[in-house]
Amino acid sequence: MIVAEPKPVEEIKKMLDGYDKVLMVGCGTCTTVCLTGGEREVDLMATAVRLMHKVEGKDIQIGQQTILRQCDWEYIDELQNVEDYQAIVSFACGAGIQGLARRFTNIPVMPGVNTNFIGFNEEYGLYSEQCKACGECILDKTGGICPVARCAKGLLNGPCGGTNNGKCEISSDKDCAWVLIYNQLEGQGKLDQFKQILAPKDYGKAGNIRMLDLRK
Amino acid sequence: MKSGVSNITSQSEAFEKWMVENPVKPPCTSACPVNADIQSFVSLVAQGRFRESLDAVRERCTLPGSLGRICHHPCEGECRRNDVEGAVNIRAIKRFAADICTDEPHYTPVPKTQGKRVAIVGGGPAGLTAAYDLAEDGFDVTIFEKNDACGGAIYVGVPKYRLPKNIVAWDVAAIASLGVDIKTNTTIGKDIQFDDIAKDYDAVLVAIGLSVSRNIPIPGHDAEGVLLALPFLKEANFNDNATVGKRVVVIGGGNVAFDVARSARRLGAEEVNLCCLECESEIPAFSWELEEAAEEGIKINPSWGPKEIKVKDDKVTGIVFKRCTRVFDENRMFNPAYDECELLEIDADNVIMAIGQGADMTGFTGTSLEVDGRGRITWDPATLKTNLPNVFACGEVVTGPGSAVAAVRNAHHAATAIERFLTTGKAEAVVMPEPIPIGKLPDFTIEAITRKEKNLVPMVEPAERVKSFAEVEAGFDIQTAIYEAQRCMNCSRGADIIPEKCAACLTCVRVCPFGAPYIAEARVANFSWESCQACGICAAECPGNAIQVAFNDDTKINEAIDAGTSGITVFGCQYAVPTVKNPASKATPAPPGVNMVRLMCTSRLDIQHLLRAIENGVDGVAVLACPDDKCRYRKDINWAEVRTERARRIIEAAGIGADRITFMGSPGSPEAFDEMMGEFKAKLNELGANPLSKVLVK
Ligand SMILES: Cc1cc2nc3c(=O)[nH]c(=O)nc-3n(C[C@H](O)[C@H](O)[C@H](O)COP(=O)(O)OP(=O)(O)OC[C@H]3O[C@@H](n4cnc5c(N)ncnc54)[C@H](O)[C@@H]3O)c2cc1C
Ligand code: SF4
Ligand code: SF4
Ligand code: SF4
Repeated sequence: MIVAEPKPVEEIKKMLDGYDKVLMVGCGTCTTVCLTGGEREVDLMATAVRLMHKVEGKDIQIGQQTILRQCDWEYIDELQNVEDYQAIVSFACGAGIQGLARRFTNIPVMPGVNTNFIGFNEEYGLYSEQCKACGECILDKTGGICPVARCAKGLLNGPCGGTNNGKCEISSDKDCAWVLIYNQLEGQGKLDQFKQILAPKDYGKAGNIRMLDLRK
Repeated sequence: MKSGVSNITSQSEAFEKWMVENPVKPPCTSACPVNADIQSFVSLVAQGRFRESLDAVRERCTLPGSLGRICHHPCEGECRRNDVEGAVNIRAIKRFAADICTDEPHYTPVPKTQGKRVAIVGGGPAGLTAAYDLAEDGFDVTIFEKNDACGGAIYVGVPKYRLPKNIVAWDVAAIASLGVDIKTNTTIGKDIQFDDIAKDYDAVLVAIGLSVSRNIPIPGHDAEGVLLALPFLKEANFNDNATVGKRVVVIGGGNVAFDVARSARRLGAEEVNLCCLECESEIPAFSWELEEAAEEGIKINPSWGPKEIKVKDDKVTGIVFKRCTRVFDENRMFNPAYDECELLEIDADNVIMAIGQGADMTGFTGTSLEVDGRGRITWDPATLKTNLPNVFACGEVVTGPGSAVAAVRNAHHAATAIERFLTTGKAEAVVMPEPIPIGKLPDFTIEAITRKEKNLVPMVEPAERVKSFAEVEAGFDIQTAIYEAQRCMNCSRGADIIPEKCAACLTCVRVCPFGAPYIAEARVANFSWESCQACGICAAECPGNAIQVAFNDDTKINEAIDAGTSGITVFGCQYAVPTVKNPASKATPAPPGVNMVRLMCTSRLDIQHLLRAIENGVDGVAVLACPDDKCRYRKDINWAEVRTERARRIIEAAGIGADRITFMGSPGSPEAFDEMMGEFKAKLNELGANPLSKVLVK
């Protein structure tokens, strides 16, 4: 799932300077699940922004709508009376924010969240990055543990000299991905895989302006 | 109800609505013969709102003081807390609500808006209950009672060591205060003829109970010294000079027999033998009656049938019993068998017959009311009607002997039948919805529930008890009652899903301490009401706003928040703030300038709630949280504190000042609460007015 974090309310408030009719749009999928952009957060941010305006003696009208996904045209089209607003704040990931910006070209669309990574829900409110969307998955060779995303240096052949009793040199509370890989492969009796050198990846596949056409 | 506008909804309609709207009820309510809203009145005591609790009790348990003492409380047997560490002491809480309010005024008369008159014959629990309901419904009700006071068997029969007579009088006075006309010392059939009232009143209810004790026609049964249970108990209750012989034998194994035996002890009998047909395990009296009687030195002799009473000079000298080998036959019919070879002779000065009661139909023979050869009124249990179109009957006279609360249940039905008959002209079967009890607590939920030991009702020592007719059971004091009431788990008032909003994110599943939420087949969350404790943690965390908690829904919470527009708004666990400064007060006492918002638990608190209060313009908001070891809900995160912190950050960013919202521990006493509020106010004075209101309450 895509993981995002709430933006500080001051930042959102600043983006909205000069507008007095604003629509806040929640997303019912990833950002709801990571507690950042669902109906509850939209409610909260709307209240917070309204309060800040009131304190300044200003009036602001904030509409609130939450749709199932902001990365699909059909769901975006469920939004109502969008034209009535001067600005939109989207609480979806970057894809969804841009979905709105592409659909409502004459209305400024602002991000309500910072999109962080593709992650795993460890437990309530705790998420970990797992995947860099590199376009060339090697998890078959690394015991199902991604060194691109989980090794601080993204090494394809590790560990480096900074490995420290299973932890990474950058921080004692971060696991060394290569030790995890070693242990996993050892458990599977496949340490021979560990000894094979991985060839450099084609980072072109992780380049910008990617499109995927499954129809071809 | 009791508002004077009760003709808008009748008592039965209100009850039916409550049942139908949410048919799933806690097992205590399901087990209660009148389906009382137990958790509501218990929770009001838990909050220190005693008068409101009493009024809630009375809606279904029309005689709170009396039933709070003598009800056999089947509710407690089913209480889900039995599986944790012991049932909530519901009966004692009910009694407490009545006792703490004894000096409170009763009600104001309900306007008689229906323009119809109802006569009730018999002022026992059944007649009184019907009078209560019908008066509430706006009818003009008159009770005709042959005794000098109402109460029926609980007034004349139940000994005063279990139920002091002033308590019965207090219960009766409450019902009279609704505008019920009570004519005591008035026997129908003697002072007033039945056919006359049947003609003069729009409807008549016969609720004359079972007021004659039966005798057993064995040799010697009419000798001097042979007494009958009810007259004996009446003497014991009302004649301060009543006496009894030193050696007494009581025949019978029901509750009445035990009342007789224990009263005889108190009147001075030194040797009291209670003999009954039933074997030990079949004795019909309640188990606690057996225990308390044994403690008082009464000898219980099971499996003996009376054979003959020994008489000398017309006076009782003893009684002979034969061994009873069975009471019921293969068809479960009462059909005792004896072994005459095995006999037991007991010397006695008095033999008291406590083998059952029958109706006294003398006032009704030869009237238009149909009574069969065995003295039973022709009666349809479904419509509660007799042979006459406007005459109904209820209570023990038609149902046979049972408990007081069963008579009360039957009377609620009778009142419903009469109300419908008088408003629609029809007399149809009264069918009341039956509650669906929620199931038992699953083991993993029991594990997670914080233990809170049960309080027993204090009893006078047996040696002291037998010396007088003083009440044997003491009530709870305020602190114990509140503690005990707080043990209730508010079963079945928990979380519910709004499916279209659920993102199946698992947040609820993860934050619930009791394992109640689960992702159901349709990939939306669902909640096991068996497990849910209604704490509300999940509702305030759900990112989709997909959860409602029946007991603490947002509409109700927001209403309470909006009551505060200046001063301080306080959010607290509904039990955190002691409110017992004015015990019987209806109002929720809070220091002036303080608006209280009571939550099931502060874990229900939503950041939005805090901001809403600030936006309403209050100077400050305080969150009172119970210390962790006092919290009824086990939780890994102090939710209220985390949410308070985020709200503080938001209002700080808005320039309102973080310190307007504060997180405090719960005060131990009303005085401590006042002090905390005083200190907070001083701090707020320094901060000046909330920029959103510009007016500071000093
Ligand atoms: C000794 C004893 C102990 C009991 N203990 C308990 C207990 O601990 N717990 C419990 O739940 N139940 C107990 N019961 C049962 C309980 O008292 C009855 O279930 C209940 O009183 C029945 O109510 P009722 O209104 O149908 O009849 P009653 O209570 O008998 O009331 C009938 C009323 O009608 C009046 N009446 C009769 N004829 C006429 C007439 N012709 N004109 C005018 N008035 C008339 C009578 O005086 C009486 O007041 C006990 C009963 C007895 C006798
Ligand atoms: S815990 Fe409360 S609501 Fe639940 S069964 Fe017991 S008394 Fe009733
Ligand atoms: S927390 Fe809310 S959205 Fe998430 S699974 Fe539970 S009910 Fe559904
Ligand atoms: S209200 Fe409390 S007990 Fe009920 S499901 Fe939610 S978190 Fe669990």
